[in-house]
Amino acid sequence: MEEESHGSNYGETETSPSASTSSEDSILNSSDHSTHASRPAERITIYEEKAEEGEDSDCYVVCCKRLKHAPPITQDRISALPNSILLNILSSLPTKDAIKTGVLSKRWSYVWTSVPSLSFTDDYENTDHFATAVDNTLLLHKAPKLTKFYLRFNYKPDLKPRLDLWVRLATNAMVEQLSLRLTYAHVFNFETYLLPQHLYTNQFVSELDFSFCNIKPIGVVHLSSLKRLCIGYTALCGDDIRKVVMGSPRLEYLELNNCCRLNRLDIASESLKKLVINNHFMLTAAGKIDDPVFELEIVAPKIESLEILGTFCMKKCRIKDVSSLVKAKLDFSMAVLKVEEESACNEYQEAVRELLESLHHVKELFVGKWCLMVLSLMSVKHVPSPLLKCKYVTVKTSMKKWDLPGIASLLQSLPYVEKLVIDISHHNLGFKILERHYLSYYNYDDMSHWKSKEIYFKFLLLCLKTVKIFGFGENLVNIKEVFVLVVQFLLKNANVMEKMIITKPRVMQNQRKSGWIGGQWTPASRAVYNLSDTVARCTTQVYPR
Amino acid sequence: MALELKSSDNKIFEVEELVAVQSETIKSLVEDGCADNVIPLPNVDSKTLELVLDWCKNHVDMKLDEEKLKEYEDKFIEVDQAVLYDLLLAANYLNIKDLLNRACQKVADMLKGKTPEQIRETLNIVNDFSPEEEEEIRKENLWAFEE
Repeated sequence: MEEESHGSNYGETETSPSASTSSEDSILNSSDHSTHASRPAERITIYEEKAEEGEDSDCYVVCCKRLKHAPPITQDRISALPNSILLNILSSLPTKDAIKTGVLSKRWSYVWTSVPSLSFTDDYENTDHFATAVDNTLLLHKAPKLTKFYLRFNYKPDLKPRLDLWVRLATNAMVEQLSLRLTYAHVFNFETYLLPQHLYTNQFVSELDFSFCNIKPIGVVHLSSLKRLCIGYTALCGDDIRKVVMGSPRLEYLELNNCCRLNRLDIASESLKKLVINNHFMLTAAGKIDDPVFELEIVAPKIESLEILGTFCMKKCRIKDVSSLVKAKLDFSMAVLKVEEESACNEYQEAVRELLESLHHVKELFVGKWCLMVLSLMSVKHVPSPLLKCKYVTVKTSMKKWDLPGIASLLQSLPYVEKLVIDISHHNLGFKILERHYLSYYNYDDMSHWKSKEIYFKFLLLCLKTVKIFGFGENLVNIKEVFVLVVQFLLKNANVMEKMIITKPRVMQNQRKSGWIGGQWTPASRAVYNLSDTVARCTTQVYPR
Repeated sequence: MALELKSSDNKIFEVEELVAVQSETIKSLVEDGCADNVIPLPNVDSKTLELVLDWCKNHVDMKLDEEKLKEYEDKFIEVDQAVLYDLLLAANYLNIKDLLNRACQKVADMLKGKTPEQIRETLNIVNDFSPEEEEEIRKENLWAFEE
């Protein structure tokens, strides 16, 4: 029995004792081709090591080259496909491209008119031209049901009647995904589009995405199929949002991006699982501001995941109730204007401290660069940071000297952490104000500061089993000191650590196959291990035990 | 529980039921109790079936890891045009929705931003319009053919 051996990434077809596979494919080949019979075995097993949680993503099988290549085709195979598949293909295209297929050949003419997805984008200011184009297309389009209707263009108030008609057409076609991403050429001279009332009682729509629209439900809101709601660039009113959320019994995801003026977000929804707030600010009229920072209070006792991202200008999130929260991502920065530096930094510290305190119960936490820097500030100023119950923590850091106290502070507050992920890939974000403040006020030796703290948190790393550091390799020279310090510390003190994975950023990984380094470590060899040697390879997996 | 699938070129593939029922077609066969013997798939050759099964298997294994799955899907779909069409037809026949959608998206990516002439060239489509006929259609949607 001859067979071909498949080139999976781990090459061999022998099973190693530890690789337990729950699903094995065996291929019985009764082929006639003669191939190199390298093994006498009758069955070939394609298997993959079952990836443990957190293991590097390189260990999956991607079908070998042999299956993916074929001689270039010379005949027209696409026109032979059935209409249903062609329509599926056209659904992924912007409508402009879909219409172009109408002149490919007679077989293709007017296939596009049945496509269930319409998407019109216009980034130019000539909106009348755009509106005519949309009207003409809609005249020819004949699909009775729409899955998606997407519009992005510069809105002008005199287009309201037309836009109303387009929305009506979409809802009549029982559209599922409706996106009105309006934009403005002249930001300070606008009137937002008031959403038609019939939208609030639509039973078919499952995804709504609005930008620069005015949300003002007057009557009852009943969006029985709505699962996802994204609102952007809108001055929000807490009551209106609450009304919409409470009128959507199936709502799972709510995103507010680039909005303003919201003071309180009170969501008692049973179904809402995830809340994302990205960039929020306080728009004030000219005049005196009493408080440098206004609050956005969040009351959402049933949500499981919260993300606070982007820039918060003169606003801070204050969490009142997120008792069901499991996962939190804090990847934001704050800006407080018209206040001197020291005061501003105090505001930042207070905000981050309060947030962490209200999130102390979450299982999974992501700490972004800015928050880490604020933690550094707090650490050197001896402001205590709250104890966190998190089990899985991800930290984004550039591993500069001003991150060190923050990392120390975090490690100190995480007595139950089981998995730590450190993302050191290069990001262009720099927070100059904080950096400057840190350097000018607290420019002492970070290494000795770290070493002095070591005694305190040495015994706290009792549960840490896995450490993953990714993004390594881009800034090696700049971060070497801090990096080695942190890694050595972890290797020495995390007594139950089973493995540490250090990888290059994804882009670099694809360039060559990664090698694994496994092995047993004695406590002695751990301490003297030469890291700079190891990290020269693509992917390093270290088993410290 | 293992199922046996036979490709159009008579190769037999043994797979776990959990993997195979990613295909709605096979799922209904199983539910109707018709899957005890070898299931013949006359519309799918062995090369394509192997690819399809790899997709299904990985979708079972990586179900909980969205990021990993997406990475896999992006790598998986890097195939030559002929293989892509075979995958499309197989996914359609076997009713594997996510594979079908991903493959269609890949074809769409080949068409995006191209002029009709370029598309005809890439896909070997023969233009059977007379110049007048083509012009008439272009005029109906002038905006789409601009720039």
